[in-house]
Amino acid sequence: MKLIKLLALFTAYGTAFWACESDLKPELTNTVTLSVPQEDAPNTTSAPSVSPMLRPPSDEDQCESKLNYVAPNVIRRLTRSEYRNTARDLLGVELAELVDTFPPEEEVNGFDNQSKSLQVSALHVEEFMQASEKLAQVVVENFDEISPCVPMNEQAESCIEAFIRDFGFKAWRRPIVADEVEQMLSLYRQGVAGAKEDLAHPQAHLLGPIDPMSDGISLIASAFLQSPYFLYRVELGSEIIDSYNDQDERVAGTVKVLSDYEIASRLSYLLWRSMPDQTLFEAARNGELSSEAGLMAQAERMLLDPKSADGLWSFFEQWLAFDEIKDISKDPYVFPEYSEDLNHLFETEVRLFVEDVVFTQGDMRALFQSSQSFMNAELARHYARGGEGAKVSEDRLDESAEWAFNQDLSLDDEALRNARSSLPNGESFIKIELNPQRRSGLLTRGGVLALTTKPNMGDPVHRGIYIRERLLCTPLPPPPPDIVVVAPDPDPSLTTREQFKIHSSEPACEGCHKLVDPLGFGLERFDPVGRFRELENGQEINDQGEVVSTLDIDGTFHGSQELGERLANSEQVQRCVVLNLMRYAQGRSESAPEICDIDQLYGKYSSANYDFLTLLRAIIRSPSFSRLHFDKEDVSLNTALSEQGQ
Amino acid sequence: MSDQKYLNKFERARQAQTLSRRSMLRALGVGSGLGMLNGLGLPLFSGLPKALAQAGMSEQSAPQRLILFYTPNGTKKELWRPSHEPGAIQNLGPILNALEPFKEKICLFDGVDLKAALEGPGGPHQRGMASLFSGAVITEGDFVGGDGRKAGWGGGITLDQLIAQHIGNETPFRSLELGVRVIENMPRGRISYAGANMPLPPVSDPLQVYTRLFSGASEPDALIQRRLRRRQSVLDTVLGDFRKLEQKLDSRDRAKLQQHAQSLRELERRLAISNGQGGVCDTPTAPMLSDVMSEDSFGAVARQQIDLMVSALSCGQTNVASLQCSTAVNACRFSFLEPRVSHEGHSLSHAGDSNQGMQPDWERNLTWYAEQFAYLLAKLDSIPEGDGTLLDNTAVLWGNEISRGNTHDLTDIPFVLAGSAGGKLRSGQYLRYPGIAHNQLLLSLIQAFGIEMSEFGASHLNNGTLSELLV
Repeated sequence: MKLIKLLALFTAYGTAFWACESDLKPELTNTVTLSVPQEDAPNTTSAPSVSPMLRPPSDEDQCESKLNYVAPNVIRRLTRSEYRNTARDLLGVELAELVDTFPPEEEVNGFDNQSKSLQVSALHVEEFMQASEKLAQVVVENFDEISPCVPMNEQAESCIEAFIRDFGFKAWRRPIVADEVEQMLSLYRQGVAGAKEDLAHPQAHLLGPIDPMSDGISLIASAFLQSPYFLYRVELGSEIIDSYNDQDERVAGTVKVLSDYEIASRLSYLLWRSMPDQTLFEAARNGELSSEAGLMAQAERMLLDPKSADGLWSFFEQWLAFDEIKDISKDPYVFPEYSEDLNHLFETEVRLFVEDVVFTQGDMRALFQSSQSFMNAELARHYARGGEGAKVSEDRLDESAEWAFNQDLSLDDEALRNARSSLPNGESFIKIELNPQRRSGLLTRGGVLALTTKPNMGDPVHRGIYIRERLLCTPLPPPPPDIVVVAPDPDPSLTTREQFKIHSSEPACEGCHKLVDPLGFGLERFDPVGRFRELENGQEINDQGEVVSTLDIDGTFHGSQELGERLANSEQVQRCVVLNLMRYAQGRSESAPEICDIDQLYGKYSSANYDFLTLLRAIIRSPSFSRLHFDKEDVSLNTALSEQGQ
Repeated sequence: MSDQKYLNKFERARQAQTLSRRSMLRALGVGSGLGMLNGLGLPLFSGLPKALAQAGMSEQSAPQRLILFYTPNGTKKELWRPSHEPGAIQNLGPILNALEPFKEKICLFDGVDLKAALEGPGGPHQRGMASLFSGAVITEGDFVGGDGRKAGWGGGITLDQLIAQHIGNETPFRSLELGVRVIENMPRGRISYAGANMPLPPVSDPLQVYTRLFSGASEPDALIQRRLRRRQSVLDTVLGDFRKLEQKLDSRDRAKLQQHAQSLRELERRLAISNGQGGVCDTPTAPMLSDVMSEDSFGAVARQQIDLMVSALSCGQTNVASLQCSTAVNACRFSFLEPRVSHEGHSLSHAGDSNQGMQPDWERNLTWYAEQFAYLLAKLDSIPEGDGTLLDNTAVLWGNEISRGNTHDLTDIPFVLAGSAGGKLRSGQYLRYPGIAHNQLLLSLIQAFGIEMSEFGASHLNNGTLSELLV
């Protein structure tokens, strides 16, 4: 049993973190000891192994037989954001707060769209019902624009039928069959008949205006929008093209080709997080999406649509936790000059930066090392105020944002002259070049720096975990179960680095902390609200860090610039990009046999100089994108059902 | 009271509201969802202390109720437990001081462990949350865990959901899951499960809870009938779609859709009940808060959720509810407390025992939690039912996913049990056990609700009930 002292310095991340000190202070007499008896539990303090998915496959992986594996997945429900976008594109109007009361998705792998965890509870169906009724109201109010045909009166069912076919097609993202039309017509008639009864009700005056045709239409719309064909991305597939037995780690089942309409939805929800548009539906109707050329032509067209920027941002904001920037909160007692208004500016800065990398620079290495950024006067003023040791006059700070901007970002004279004339106030940001020795790559952006520290103090552990989990794809194990901890007081006379260095002197702590603390130490020049600082507690900053237990970038470094370069040029980091995009695109975790397919994607990505859109295109082009794994047991069931004529 | 300042602020805001009063309201459950504020400027605490008639049931047969109450990051057991030996509760530890008026109506426990949370992958907070009210071991899944395994969600149905299956048939809502600033949608952010890997999300916005429970309360009968009829027509059609589609899917997808269809049938049941027997009782006012997820609002939201929960129980809207005060590893600073609290709760819970800067603040956090629990008990106890009170007919279980923040101890959990579930539990006891699995406590509660089960949660951790507890 080990006896360890515990510092009050912990992460708010998923894994608890242990800060240790080797010697017991004499005043600690009332120590608490704990022994959790877990005799069989292995010691987990050693470095976690790097996932095989981050390495090139070996001969043992037998890629020839495994390539183009179609892994099983579970039917995907629309997420809150997908529901909101789909409703917007279906009806052409965006209802404020439509999905605000939907339960948030349970997150796995950092993403909200992982199929296995998309729950449906009583609360969900209630919210879906309420939302469908609000949207049905919109349909009624805008019926003339939405319907291809406007009936003279409620008897004009051929016109209602045209509406059912047209609206149903868009809502269900596939053509409506005769039975379904009939079923909806029947519901329409119920609505009309019910309305007529209500009009005859003695209390009809309490019911508000009632119109039989509107009643029928709103029932249809509400039913379409609560149907599984709207709420889920239903994939039944068509032709069976392959089957797996339980071998080569592949899950037994058959492989089906998706229908063109199913492929259209896969494409639109990947790129837009929304339903297909009219052009994509047309392509599906014409059978264009079963050919690679047809599919890619649509993908290229869609990438030019602004909806792609929103859609892809959804990937980045979840992968890199940018969606948490809006909730950053700092203790006003410790950071009185920080305001939550900054969160929005931080978020805009990283979003513009990411979009520039993805759509303009086209090289994902820039994400980790580029010193280009986006700025407005207000954000520049925050950076310019500087952290401890900055010599900033408050007068001059107020007087000129450009001057302030220069103080922190150390522009040369020419850049300053350019900036002086153009650094905007208000919402608009301009692209600028930062001093690369001070700020390069996303780890040096205020939002990320503030997000990964505590509300009232620095936190190299947290920053290290961010790098390790999000950029290196090597999450940390929880602390060992046989540990005994005793928590001492933190020492305010020490720098953050000195306090946390205690970790490395205790073997039980060191195992995990050596993986993260030294990564965070490299960012010590940035304070918890993202400002550059010269001093901490009156002492000079030491920004030496170390990368350990990676496949290719181990070693010591100084400061954020060297760390950014190291990360940008790491194969592990770039394979981690591939893994994350695959999880997001497929809505599930990777499975073992996919090692070969993921490696092939990486090959295409790396030979295109890490162009993100090339990787995205390769995923769309890959066979599994247009295929479906079908549980074997059910093939016979379906056959039996179809034989019975059901 | 340490949160006096906040209370005053809150009180002023309350009084500033329009105090138009409606004491007889039809409790409807799922209302229109539109115009929920029209004409309902009711005082928050209006008339709650007085007798409230039960919806569709006589006072003689007041139903049993269950409440789960959760606060995170452990406690300080040495300041929590009574200073005397086990037996009838005579005094309370300083942290639980606010429970003094109820010491004959509560039970306190030493030596009840989350043994199920000592197994399985994941960190201690994660395992503790997964096991707390289920007694089941966390599943393996996609979250990072220790020793090469990855942790998933809770491994089984929780106490509230199981009991709701038995006592929820007569109420519009089978159960209610409420939260305060639950911002993490991960295993450490869930306490209630419909089954293994089926977490139930709590609602953290009091206005949303209010709308669910009480909107539409003022609508005329004919309008309610009209809405119900229309909704049933739509749901019939939709359920038909589900039935047809299920046959075409493989087993994985079919299971997902069956879960959905089951929830739809539950919604149909609720709509029918709401219509058939609208309860007559006082309803609270619509809560008004601008930013319910902010640290500043934490205290006010907790109070409003408690008010709504008690109203829901007393109005017969539900018999089962849970209130989850944030999440495990909750990084919220109690900025509404005076004088100023230095750190967020998780950091405070981790402070060293001799840390004079942080420990007093941590104790204030813990005291504050106890005050909210006391507030809940006081509200329940102020509502007469039959010969007793709503509290007497309720079992309120207060749990925590660990017992101590700076050790992550999963043994000796600070469970508090209040109420007697309609005379089925023996209250007023301080009980000490030699490190038993909490499955015994959970199973005792299940049996107190008349459910004949012989084990709950992980089979191998079951060892019957706690005979001292059951009448």
